[in-house]
Amino acid sequence: MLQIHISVSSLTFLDKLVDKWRAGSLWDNIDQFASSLGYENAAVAIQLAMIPWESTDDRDKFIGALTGDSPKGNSGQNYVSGTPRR
Amino acid sequence: MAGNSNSGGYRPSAPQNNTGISATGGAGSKNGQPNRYISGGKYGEGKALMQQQQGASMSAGPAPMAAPQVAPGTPAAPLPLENQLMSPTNNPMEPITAGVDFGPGPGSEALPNNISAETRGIDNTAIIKKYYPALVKATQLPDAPDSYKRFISYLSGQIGG
Repeated sequence: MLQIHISVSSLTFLDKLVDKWRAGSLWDNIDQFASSLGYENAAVAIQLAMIPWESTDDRDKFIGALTGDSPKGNSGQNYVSGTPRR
Repeated sequence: MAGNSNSGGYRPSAPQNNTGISATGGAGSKNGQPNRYISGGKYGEGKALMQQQQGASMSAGPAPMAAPQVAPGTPAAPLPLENQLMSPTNNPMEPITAGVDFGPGPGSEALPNNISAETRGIDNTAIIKKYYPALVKATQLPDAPDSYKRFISYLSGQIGG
């Protein structure tokens, strides 16, 4: 089985490649999981965000199965344009 | 008198088998141990013991199990798919978040004490500290939502950054 391990250095490397906030990115995943599961579950949210989700729909369905609710991230004034604001 | 006067008949001096059990094994009785009259007890006790033996005959023992008939070279049959990793749940009415502290169902208080993670807070802090520098940088990205910035601010308070 493929083991996925993202270290601090690889996160920093990803950070250099990303020049703007994008839906489905690692940062967006972290935002969605942390906002949906609760900040007190930050570690779980970060680890779930590292899963290479097929699409934001798959990710959001998983969050919906966990919480029984729609994802609560990506909220605020600087939401990603083109993504429905929740 | 013709013949040997000692042939036949009861000979008290000869070796006797009075136990009712074959010395060489053999098939024995199909009903198990035969009923024996036990003397020497009180009046009527022998008859009572005899009736007791007749009412509860000794078991002949369990029948041996037949060995499964498998042809040589036949591959082993696959195990039933019950209780495998990908098997359907045995508790379809139970939420998948039962036992964790978010989502529907009971929280971690429903778990046995030996399953509860006592080091959860320590582990969480270690994971947050590990990724915190990169997480902070992402707040500077254009269009980073406020929800993400609030989350990073919360983490900052947790690790004392």
